[in-house]
Amino acid sequence: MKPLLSVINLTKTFGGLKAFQDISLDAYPGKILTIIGPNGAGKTTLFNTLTGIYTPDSGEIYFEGERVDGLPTSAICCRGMARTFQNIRLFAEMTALENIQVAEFSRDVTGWHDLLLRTPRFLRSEKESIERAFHLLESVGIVNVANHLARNLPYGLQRKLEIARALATKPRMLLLDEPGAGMNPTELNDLIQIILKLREEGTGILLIEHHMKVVMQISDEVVVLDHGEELAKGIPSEISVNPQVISAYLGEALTHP
Amino acid sequence: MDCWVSGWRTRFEKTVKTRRSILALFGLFLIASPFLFSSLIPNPANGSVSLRLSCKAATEFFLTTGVITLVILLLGPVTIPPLKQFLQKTILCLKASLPSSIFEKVPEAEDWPRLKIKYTRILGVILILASLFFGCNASPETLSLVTRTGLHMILALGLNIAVGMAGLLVLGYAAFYQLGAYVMAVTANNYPWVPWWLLLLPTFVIGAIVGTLVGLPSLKLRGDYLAIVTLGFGEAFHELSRNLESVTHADQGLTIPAACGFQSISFHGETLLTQDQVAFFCVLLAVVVTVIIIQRIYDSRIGRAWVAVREDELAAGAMGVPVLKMKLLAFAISSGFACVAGVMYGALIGFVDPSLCTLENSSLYLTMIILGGLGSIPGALLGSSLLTIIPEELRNYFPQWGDYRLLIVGVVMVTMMLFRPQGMIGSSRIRRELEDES
Amino acid sequence: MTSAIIQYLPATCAAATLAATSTPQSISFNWWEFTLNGLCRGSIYALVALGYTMIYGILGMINFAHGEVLMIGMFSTVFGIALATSIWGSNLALNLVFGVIFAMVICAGFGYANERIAYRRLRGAHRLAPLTTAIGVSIILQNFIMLTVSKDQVQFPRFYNAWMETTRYGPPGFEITATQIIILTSSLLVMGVLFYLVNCTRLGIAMRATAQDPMMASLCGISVQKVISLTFILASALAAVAGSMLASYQGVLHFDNGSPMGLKAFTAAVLGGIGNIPGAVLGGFIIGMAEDLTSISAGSDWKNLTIFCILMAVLIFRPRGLLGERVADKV
Repeated sequence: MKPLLSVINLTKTFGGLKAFQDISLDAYPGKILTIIGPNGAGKTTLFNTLTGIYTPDSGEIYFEGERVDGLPTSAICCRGMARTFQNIRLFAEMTALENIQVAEFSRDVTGWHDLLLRTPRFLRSEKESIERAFHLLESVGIVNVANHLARNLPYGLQRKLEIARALATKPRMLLLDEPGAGMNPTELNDLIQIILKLREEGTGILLIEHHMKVVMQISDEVVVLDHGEELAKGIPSEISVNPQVISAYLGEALTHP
Repeated sequence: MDCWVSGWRTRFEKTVKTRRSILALFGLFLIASPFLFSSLIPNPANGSVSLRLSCKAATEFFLTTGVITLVILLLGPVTIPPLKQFLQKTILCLKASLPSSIFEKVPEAEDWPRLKIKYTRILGVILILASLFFGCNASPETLSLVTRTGLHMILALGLNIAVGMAGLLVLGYAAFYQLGAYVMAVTANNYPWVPWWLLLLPTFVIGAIVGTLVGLPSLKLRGDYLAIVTLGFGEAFHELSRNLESVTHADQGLTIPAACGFQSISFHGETLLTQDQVAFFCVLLAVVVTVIIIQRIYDSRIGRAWVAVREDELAAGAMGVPVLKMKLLAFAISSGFACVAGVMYGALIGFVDPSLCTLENSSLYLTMIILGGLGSIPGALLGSSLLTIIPEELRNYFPQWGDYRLLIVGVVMVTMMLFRPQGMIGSSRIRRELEDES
Repeated sequence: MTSAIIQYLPATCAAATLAATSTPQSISFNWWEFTLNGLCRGSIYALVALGYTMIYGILGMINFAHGEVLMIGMFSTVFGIALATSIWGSNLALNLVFGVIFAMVICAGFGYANERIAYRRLRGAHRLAPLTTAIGVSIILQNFIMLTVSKDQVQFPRFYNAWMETTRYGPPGFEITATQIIILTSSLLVMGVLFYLVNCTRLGIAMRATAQDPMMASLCGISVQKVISLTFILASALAAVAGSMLASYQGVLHFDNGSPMGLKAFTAAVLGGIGNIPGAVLGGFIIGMAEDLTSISAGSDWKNLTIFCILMAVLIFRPRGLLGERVADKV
């Protein structure tokens, strides 16, 4: 199977500080690749570089066979790679529904004349956009807060909304940056169900997570970063007994189910 | 017991804060006192200068500002809430009576009963008829004032797109107004057979192109720079229009032949509509069309994209919104509308000179939308009418206060931003926010 | 490709306009005089640009009211001299020094009041709020002076002008007037004090830390609020000195003198690299020279257009400025 996302020897430095160096990984559709590592290891910076917020200093990023490093964020999103943020970045003053509608921007095909003259085509397109947004809210289970302002939602629902918003761009690869942060066990379970369903549907998932239970449970492959360098790569069971990983991050041997 | 202690503490904090604010204001007064309470006496004999204590400046300053503040404070609470409701209802009626809304629902009226919608539509038609009646029967001075207000409304609506909806700060807006006026004047002088209404669309395009060129380098970098770039553009354009004598006749200005401006309509030798009336109706139509266009753009994915970019550029980009394109689009449309207003200005006044494009005017237009409410269409209409009609009336009745005009503009700007940043009306999003909080 | 052309278009259009319409005048000007004038004007701009760049570095905000602080500095100097003359008699050099110090105090006060009353409340608000408030404040300050002092031009005490202009030193052809000596030396002195303050004292470290990461600085025990107030005070004091220099250089004062500063000084700050203190100085000198060059070659009516072209050129070709910018990236 050809990799959906292919990263080759990616390096990013800020001034003299190296955020990450010579990172290579391949992510496949329908597979979950998790990146773990201590704080400051460069995980979020890697995400930012993959999605176009930063330009890498060297290395290549291929998405579906085409080079995407150096492209602006909106272009990368249009190619099919969407993300969520570590610190939730919802549009606070817009309702949950509107948040998702924003993400459907690139999927609208109506033209200027439709917009200005309010043709039936435009009205239909708006209606469908709202329906699609409702559908997405349903799929993550927050349809009853559709008309609430994003900043009034409780934390767990905000995280779900962020995922739904990213899904609205119909991504083939979804990058989730610590989606489970601050969640209680029930919410975590919900989250796992959502991610597994996405995997079933064939979306490739790149995950940053600290909840080891979640990581070991759902990952197909795990990459460990430490101080910007790749410490280990492999299936969860291998990683959890890797002595270097244990000393750098996991602590004493994690007894996995 | 706890409540009592915490209540005491908040009261204490409040007193401290108020005391500190009073101290700060007193300090400010102290610093300003040399200017207020003394005047310079030059001594031509030995070329020096000395000071004389005098309360003249202070008394005049405080008296006038005090009176004006009092007037605004007294009038404000009385007029604002009813005014706001009146304006909102008016806009709603007008929207409901437009032909297109027969096929679609007016969004704000989704939960209204059918009868109410019907009455709103009738009211809208009545309003339109009322303005027609007004146009036909008002005196030329009133007509001229209202027509100029209409032009300012188009300006305010245009600026509102860039500043209120997309969140960019634009400082040299008057330059585009002047650009449109000059395009009209130059065309009228060189090709007198072109009527003014033919120029509207091409000038819009010219304005949009110039806006894109000016905005592109700065929007690519940091949005804050756009303010300085547009400021620079305003100053440079002002200078350019004063220096390119062959094209613009510098300070003398260009006169537009009457044949290119608004024409009175006559039928079989009888005047049906005078020139002023034609001007009024054309500008009225232009304002209505502008409102419709902007409202429709705002209620679509483009408007949502603008709000998203305004809130969080990074997240918007990550969700597929082409941030740079959206900002440029907002700025280009904005400039286009200013140029269109400029064309109508040329047709109305018949004379164009470099005095349109000053920093004062740009700040005035900015204050209009701040006063009315950033991002709000009724707000732009309200702000522009208030800040055109009131100074004009004041100038008629209190000519000695003319010098204070700009000071009041500045004070309005600062007080609005400090105490009511959403403006008098506030956009529906901000209104939703306030309602949700309660 | 198209975007590249579109980017370069405004600059080339403007340059072409300038070239086409400037009339060639006799290019036999005095290089020495030109350099001196440019340096003097440049040092004034440098002082104001320093204020802009410091405030932008710390708050991320363009303080549009800063030009008006310069204008208040001009008027305060004259008022200070007048006050000194009224108190202990006229025409001592002491009066001038007193005037400058008086101006520094008044301007520092205005700067502090500005920050305290207008900008402090808007710290967390949307980006537009402090910017528009700054514009409002600049309008208020300008009109305040217009209403309380004079609508017309005010003369700088001519005694000083006469003395400073006529006293010249140096061999003929390479003369330097007392005005120019005073301006150059005092601006160098003031900049030197500022550099020392920013680079060698604990206060300077606090300022630089706050500029880079306010939250971290406050976690380290630095009172961010105090640093911000101090920055405003310093910037305003610099503007006051610049104002007194400009007043003595021009010989006349007008309430309008502050507003062109906004464009020129900020362009200078951007040219040198925003947030970068040596950059502001360099940018100021370059803009001063450029302005004088334009006055000589094309006439002083083209100054604003030239400055706009320089600004666009910087943004297109070297957006980080000549010496690199020093603002924290906010992601």
